Amino acid sequence: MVTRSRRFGVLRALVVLVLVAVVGFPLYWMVTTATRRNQEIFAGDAPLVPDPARLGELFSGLGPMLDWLANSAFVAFGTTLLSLLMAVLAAYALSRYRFRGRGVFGFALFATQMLPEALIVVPLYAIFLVLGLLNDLGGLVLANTAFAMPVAVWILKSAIDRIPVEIEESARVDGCPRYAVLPQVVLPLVMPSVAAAAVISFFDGWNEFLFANTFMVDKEKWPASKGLASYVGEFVTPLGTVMSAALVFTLPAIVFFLLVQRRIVSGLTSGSVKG
Amino acid sequence: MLLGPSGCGKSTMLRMIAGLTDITSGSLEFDGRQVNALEPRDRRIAFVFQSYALYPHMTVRANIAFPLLMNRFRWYHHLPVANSLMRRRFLRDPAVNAKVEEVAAMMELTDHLDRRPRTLSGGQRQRVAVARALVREPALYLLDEPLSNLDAKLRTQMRAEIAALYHRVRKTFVYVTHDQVEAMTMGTRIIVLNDGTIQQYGTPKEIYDRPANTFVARFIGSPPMNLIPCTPTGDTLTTPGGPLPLRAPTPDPVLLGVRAEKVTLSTSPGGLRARIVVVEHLGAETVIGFNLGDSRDLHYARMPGDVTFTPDTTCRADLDLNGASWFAPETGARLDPLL
Repeated sequence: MVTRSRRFGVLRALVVLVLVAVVGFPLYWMVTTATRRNQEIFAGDAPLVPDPARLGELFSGLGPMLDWLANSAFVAFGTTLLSLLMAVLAAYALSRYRFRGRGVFGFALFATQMLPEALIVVPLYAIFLVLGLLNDLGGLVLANTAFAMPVAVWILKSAIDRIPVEIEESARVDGCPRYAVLPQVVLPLVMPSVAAAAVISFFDGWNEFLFANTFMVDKEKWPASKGLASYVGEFVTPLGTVMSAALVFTLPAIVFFLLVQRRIVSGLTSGSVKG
Repeated sequence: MLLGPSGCGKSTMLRMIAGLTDITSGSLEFDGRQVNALEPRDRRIAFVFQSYALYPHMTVRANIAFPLLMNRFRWYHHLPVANSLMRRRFLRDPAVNAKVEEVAAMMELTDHLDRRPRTLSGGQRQRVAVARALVREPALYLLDEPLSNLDAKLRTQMRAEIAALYHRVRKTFVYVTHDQVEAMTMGTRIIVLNDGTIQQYGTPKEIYDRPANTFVARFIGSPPMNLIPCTPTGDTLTTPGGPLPLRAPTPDPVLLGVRAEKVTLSTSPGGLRARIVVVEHLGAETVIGFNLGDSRDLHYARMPGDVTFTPDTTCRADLDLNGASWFAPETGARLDPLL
């Protein structure tokens, strides 16, 4: 029995290792390419292990990448905060209140996910032109929020649905004003889902390219996604620089995920009601 | 006590008293003051939910203190993050702590104050829910089937604790239950509900001895009251088991209501003709189900000790008619006996 379970454990570890290798290989390739010189890349005889001595050179020659990263951070955090603020309120209303048009509203949220961004970009451009939001990072936040928020709403709605309504009623009897039930009782219980929605919204804002490429004209206002693409030239593409930029572009997102993922735990409501 | 079968509206009535369900018509008054439009928190009530409804993200201490903290919160304290900080700050207040520890000691929760609800047993969670109700010293306690999630042993223990608590705090308790034993043992006044209508209001003894209608007669008591269809003929009653020398309150057909403990089965002559259907030995007593004459209606006798009747045998049923009830067959309403 022990042998069998150990054999199963070894097999499972092997499968996990293979999956990690498949997922991690592009990252490894990005790091090694970033530390190679162009002639090494094209010669194909570069060492497979990145040279630590060259790690210091990674960030040289990236030009305005840091500014673009700051723009991306603004767009990503803005998208996350705005999406979560609106999504929490919308999800609570959808979960707890019965009102005319509730079903239509829910469907409309889904509908936003059915349409590709490319289909929206032209009408959105026209709207942004009228509103004066073109070439404006705030406008980019709004555009990204429109796509990130519906997903956040559905994640949060299903989380709020699982919270027994008696907990909220109990809070109301205990003296909690109606408007305060959401921040006092509901929000702490759906924090894992808020964290999940935050990750999705953040990456929506961080990785978004199409709107950024279409709406942002001034080079100093570009987010990093567009800046990264600008390294790819018509005649020459400095692969080492592109991979360095890609690495720098990836790091903040990884840090954000590592910080937030600790909140993505389940089972917070256990013990609240008989179950 | 609000007593009735599932779906009769007793929890809805309690929720209306609490302000958790809107009252569509009628007036709800506390001490002569209409409270229909008041928010639950403004009604000076405490509510103990069937499902405990504890705050899982807070410790037992914070759960119990929650009503006290809410009294001190200003609107901006409720904002995200701020509410958690302010809760911690107010929890350190000696006055809050003293009150929480006093109530916790009363409910034997002192050792569990810093634990989370998920680490507690069902009985402990229920005690936390009661402690949270006690801490704000409300004018009215509302309890919605607070024992229905507990096992039989714990339920008996908690029943005694709640009864003791009632005698200690001396406030009005409105207690919803579908368990007549809880209602009869804990209640001072019982409202029997069915289909959203009050069937009877009275003391447990009144309701048991003088049920207002056949619903109450059958719902209260285990086994339920025997309702024997009778046709009066002068000074006698014709029952399915034979004649009874008794004058009915009306010349029309009636239902004679007799509690199971007022029926004695024997093999000696006299009484009504009966056939044993089922025998349930409960140790201290035996409940015997029987038919009268050729009728298929099941009636019950509760006899002390271990009697030796077997199903499918015939016997005689003697009825003690002292305190018997009469009901109209069509309406089910109680008829006053001729005295």
